[in-house]
Amino acid sequence: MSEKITSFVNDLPEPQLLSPRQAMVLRARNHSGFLLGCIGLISIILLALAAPIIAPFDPSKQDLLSRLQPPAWYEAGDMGHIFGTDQLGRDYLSRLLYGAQLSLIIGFLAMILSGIIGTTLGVIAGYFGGWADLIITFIITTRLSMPVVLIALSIAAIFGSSLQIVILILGLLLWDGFAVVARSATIQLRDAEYLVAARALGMPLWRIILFELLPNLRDSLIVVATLEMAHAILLEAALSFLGLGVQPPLPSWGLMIAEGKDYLFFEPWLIMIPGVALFLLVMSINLLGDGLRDITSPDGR
Amino acid sequence: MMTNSILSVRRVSKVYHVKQGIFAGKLPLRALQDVDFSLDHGQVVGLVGESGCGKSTLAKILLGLSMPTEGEVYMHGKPIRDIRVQERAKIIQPIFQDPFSSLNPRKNIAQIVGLPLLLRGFEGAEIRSRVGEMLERVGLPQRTLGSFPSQMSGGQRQRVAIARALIAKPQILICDEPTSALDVSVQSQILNLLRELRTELNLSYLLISHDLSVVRHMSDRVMVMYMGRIVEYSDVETLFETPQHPYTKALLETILPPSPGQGLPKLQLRGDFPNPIKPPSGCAFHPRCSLAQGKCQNVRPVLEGSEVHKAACFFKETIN
Repeated sequence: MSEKITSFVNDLPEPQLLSPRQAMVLRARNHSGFLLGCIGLISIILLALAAPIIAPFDPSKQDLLSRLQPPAWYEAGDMGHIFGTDQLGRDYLSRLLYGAQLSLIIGFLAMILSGIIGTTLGVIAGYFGGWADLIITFIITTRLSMPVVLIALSIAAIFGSSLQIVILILGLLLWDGFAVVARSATIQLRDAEYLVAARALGMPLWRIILFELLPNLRDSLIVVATLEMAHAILLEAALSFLGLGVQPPLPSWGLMIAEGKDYLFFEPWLIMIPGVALFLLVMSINLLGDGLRDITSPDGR
Repeated sequence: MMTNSILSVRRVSKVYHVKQGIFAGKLPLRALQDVDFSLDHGQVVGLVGESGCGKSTLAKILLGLSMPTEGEVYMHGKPIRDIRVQERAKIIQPIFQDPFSSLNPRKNIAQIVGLPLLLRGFEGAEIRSRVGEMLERVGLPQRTLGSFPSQMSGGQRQRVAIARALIAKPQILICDEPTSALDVSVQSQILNLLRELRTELNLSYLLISHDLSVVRHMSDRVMVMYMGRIVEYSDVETLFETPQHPYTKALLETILPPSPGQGLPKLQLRGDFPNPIKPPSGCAFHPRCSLAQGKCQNVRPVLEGSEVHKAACFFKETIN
């Protein structure tokens, strides 16, 4: 009897269904927003990594004789400084390239930190429910009711501002998205029968959460991660613009915009160039995140 | 304890406390009351009842996912509270209703079926060979090893679930509606597979179902449950020939006749399943019973009768 079943099943044609990964790759290849975001982000990452090689000047080397030189496409500009120089004569292109490093590092580390905090809280709240959920939901709403920029500003004002502190502030403030998404996704999956089956196997709780639950949250968390990374990069620029983020002479894009604002009417490119760079980076990351959401959960939109 | 039963359930009750809103406080919901039965080696006990009657609560207790409020479950004569979940998992394994949610969508079939062995600390090579054997045993081709659940049909998934449950060689399977989510054509394949495996591996099943023909096909003994209590307990032929509880009788009459043109069976039940938070007085079945009389409203009939056939009804002698 069982042999009959086996041979019957073996005679069936090969299944034509794609594995989850194959299906994802297929959807990714047909998603122009995702591809655009990927290309944008990857090229910015490559430029940032290659900054020490391709930057024509030291980003902090001042040359007061050639200050405020306009970019090459202006009449007064020359090819020596393609994007011109700032008010201290530093090469704008080199500062832009090193600034990309800074933005990416800050965005990435802040996203990792907030991801760890938010996911932990969200999974605990969602999985255990009851009191744990009440308390963590309260913490989340408290956090959501706080104006992020104001809090970040006051913390930076109290503790001083440096690269590390900016990353810490952003990481400790931006976990709410992770927590909310992880919590609701965990609640949906908490009673899934494959988790019950794992419990009935005597699987330790931490293994259930780590190896059975978390892989199923991965897709939604990656989407949140991209959005929070873009958020962190923008906030860093805002903090630096207000003078409480990254400190000079580090070449942060926000700082470059802040330093250029005095020349807004006469040398608008001082603001436009880092502004466009910031826009392109955040845009790429958001396109990527948006695309990822479509790709990973085609029916959950 | 009786020595030949591998699982005996002694007067188990389970009470949940259900919140009725923020200020109303909690009310007790008696999901199981005085459930008493035993499962012998190689035996299949069917458990029948409407949804909400406590079938799944009982399954949860037997799997060690929830503790009985009162009473005790014995496994090989040993109280189940004293047995660690890991130990219990070696003896009792579940098969769930919905093979679409019982397999982790992120894992491939080899990982899913091999998990119980991995948890016991088996080596990779040993796990692979045993997973391969097990897949063959449940009628799945070897090429499915690397597939994901989303690439398989419902019947194939249920075979995977059976393979996962059996790979660590348990003695008891708790089958919670193992076929109700499957196509009719696939149902019989899965049931026949379960039957074969039972004789081959000398397994015992607790078969939870609301499908009486499934229960009749598979079981040696049948329990009928209503509002958390067993109202009839008998061997399968006796139950189907001469039911002694009006609820069982009503259920039997709902089986669709296989030939068309006879119309739908007339349901002998009045009203709806009562609210389990406010159970009826006396016999819990009396509001829906066609035989109910005055005393049914006040006195609850106890489950009694011979060793082979017990029923909880005052009129069990006269019902047929």
